[in-house]
Amino acid sequence: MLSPTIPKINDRLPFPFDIQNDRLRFQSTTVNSQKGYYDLVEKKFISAQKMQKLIDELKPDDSFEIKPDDSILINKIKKRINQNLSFMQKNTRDSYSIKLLKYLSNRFLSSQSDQNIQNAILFVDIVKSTNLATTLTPDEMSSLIKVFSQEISILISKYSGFVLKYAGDAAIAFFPISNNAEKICQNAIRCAKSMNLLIKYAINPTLEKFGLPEIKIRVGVESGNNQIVFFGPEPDLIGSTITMTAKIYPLADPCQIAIGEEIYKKLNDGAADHFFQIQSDSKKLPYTNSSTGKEYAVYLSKEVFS
Amino acid sequence: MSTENNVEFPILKKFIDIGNRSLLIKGESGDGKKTLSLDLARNVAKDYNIYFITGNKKPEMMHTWYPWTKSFLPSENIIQISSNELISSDSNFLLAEMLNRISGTVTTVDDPFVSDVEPKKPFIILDIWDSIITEFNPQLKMHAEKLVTSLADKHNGFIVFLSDKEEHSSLEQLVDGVIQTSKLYVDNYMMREITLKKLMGMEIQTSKIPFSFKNGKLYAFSSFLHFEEECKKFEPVPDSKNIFSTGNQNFDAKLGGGFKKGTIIGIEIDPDVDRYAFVPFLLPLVLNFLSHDNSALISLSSDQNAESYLDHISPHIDDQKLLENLRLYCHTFGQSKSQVVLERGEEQNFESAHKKWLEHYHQLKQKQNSLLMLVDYSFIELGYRGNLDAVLKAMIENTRIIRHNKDLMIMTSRPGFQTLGVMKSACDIHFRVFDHNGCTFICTEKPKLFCSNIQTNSSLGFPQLQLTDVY
Repeated sequence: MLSPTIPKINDRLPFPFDIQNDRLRFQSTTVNSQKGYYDLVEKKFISAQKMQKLIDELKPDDSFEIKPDDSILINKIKKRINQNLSFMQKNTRDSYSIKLLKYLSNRFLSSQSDQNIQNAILFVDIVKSTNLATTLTPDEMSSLIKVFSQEISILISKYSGFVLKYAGDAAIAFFPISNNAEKICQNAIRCAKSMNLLIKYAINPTLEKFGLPEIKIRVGVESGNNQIVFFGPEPDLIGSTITMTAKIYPLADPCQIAIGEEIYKKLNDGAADHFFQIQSDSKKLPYTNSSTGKEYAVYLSKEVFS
Repeated sequence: MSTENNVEFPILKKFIDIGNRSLLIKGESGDGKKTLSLDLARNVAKDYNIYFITGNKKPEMMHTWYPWTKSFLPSENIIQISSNELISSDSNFLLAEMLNRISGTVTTVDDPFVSDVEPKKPFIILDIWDSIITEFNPQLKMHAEKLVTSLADKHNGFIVFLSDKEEHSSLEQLVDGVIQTSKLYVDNYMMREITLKKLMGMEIQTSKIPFSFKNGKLYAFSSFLHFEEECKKFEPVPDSKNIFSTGNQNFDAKLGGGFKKGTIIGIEIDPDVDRYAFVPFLLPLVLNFLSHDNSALISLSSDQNAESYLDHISPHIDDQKLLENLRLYCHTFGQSKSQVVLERGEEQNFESAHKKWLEHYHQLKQKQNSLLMLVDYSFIELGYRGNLDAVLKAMIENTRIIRHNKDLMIMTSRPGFQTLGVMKSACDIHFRVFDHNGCTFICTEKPKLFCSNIQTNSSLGFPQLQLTDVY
């Protein structure tokens, strides 16, 4: 039970967002007359009020969407990016939100250790990041990657997903499928679309203000089973779905989304209409689907968000 | 060698850097616990926010007594639990109060969406621990100790306990390091030292480190360093009418101007002292004599090599002055061709050796200039054991001549030698050079003037004596 002196974080939040029950990491305490939580890993105090606000920003929201004309949301994101880019020359570390999101992801996977779970997997990376790395200073590059990683992590969380890992300019996310596979798969694809809009309407205009080049991303999404394993202390996912997603996303053009045939099958007609199957032999994957015995089909979004 | 910005105790800095969390500094009042803890804080202030929790120091007084702490210990970080609170409150309250103050040093998340600038960790000096636990029973005391040490770990910080109490068995087990500051007296001179009792993860090679204070800051003495710099010509220091300069203005100042003409200086040297400790002391004196066209007549110890002795002197002075003014009286077995070197020969009889010595003295004195006579009598005593009475008589005769001619004589001897007794009686200034915990010190036994650590300063290109007082 949460101490009665500590304001409650929204108690309807599902695991793993119910951090008030996580006594291993968060200790209820009072610092400078403020009630809140002491994070035993980060060795930092966060007031209950701030934690509530943070969780509200991160918790899954079925109605969340980035729309070009939603100036309130876009300006809020721009302000956040602006603040983080202002630290460009300083030796900065990840923000608390990005650390918490990584922890929530690990908390989720650890709770289902060694199980085979159904997920939608999403791969995203920055197109031609090698060119960026050679033209930007290390400080500029690391600030750009930090901003990109933080913003896509928040998006992933809003769409009920978790970041599995970051790999430089790329990130891998998973969206656990519980009982409504269609909804989760559509969430993952909506997330991919929102990522492109985030880049176009919030990240790139702010990068331009700081004299940094615009970025473009490529996203790949597929669904299927994956095994939760532990390599060292951190949980990880392995399985054919992750491997196939890694093969699928390079087939997308910049600002485009590529999806595999397994997730395509789970989309309703309206959502599926936004994709077309790759017919060109040069772009086809040289793999067969083990369940159908046919060549592995990949679909590209008709919309390109450039 | 220590400088203003140096880390005085590298082993203690490393002890903190490797991730230890707590240190107990024990010692009586006035032994230097606070200065040591503040000096440690100064060394780590780049990575830590320093807090000083005290019962009796008002912030403004701390900065008056330790002005060098202003740069890393802001007033708001000097947390005073007032003496009224200490008298009127029970210990539980004080403990709770102190824990609250420490908890107040926790880093907080300001904006969870903004990149985190590397935070500084808390470094907390508890100058109030004895007052808090004084009324606790053993169980409560142990509980309080565990609580506070765990706080250091929780906040990724470092806690220093300062204590006057001798008995601290449970806390000593809990903390990562225990050191003790203490004072001891050598010939009425107060020496301070730090005893390293326990330092987790560190190899303690020297468990006792002598230290002193310099400009209000802590100064750790280090073992004697030999002269190693590029050689440059000696810069003479002028003599005054009645006083010979030592060749070092700082040393002169300590002696009230230098050595009075006609003075006999006795140096008692302990057997475990590095013999090179003489170099920064005596070499500038010899060079200063030679530079002013005065003479130096030096009786080398029987184990000293004349050529290597010359190697120490010749780079710092013109050859002409060396040839004209310096004479080394020693055994060379006919090896040395230098005009400067006088062959002592195989004289079995001390009287005839002494006669030759006086002849050389009078020869040099023909120039009507002043002369420095330098003799190591413990080696003379070793060489002429059968003629000891003659050696002792010669010592007196030499002092009489030097005083009469207003020259300067430096005689040295060692404990256990009979010449030491005569030297002590005959000399006007009696220096003692001794080793303490691997460091070399010099003190004046007669008259009582100072006790200092000896170090070589090589910055001018010739050996200079660097003295740091112990107090």
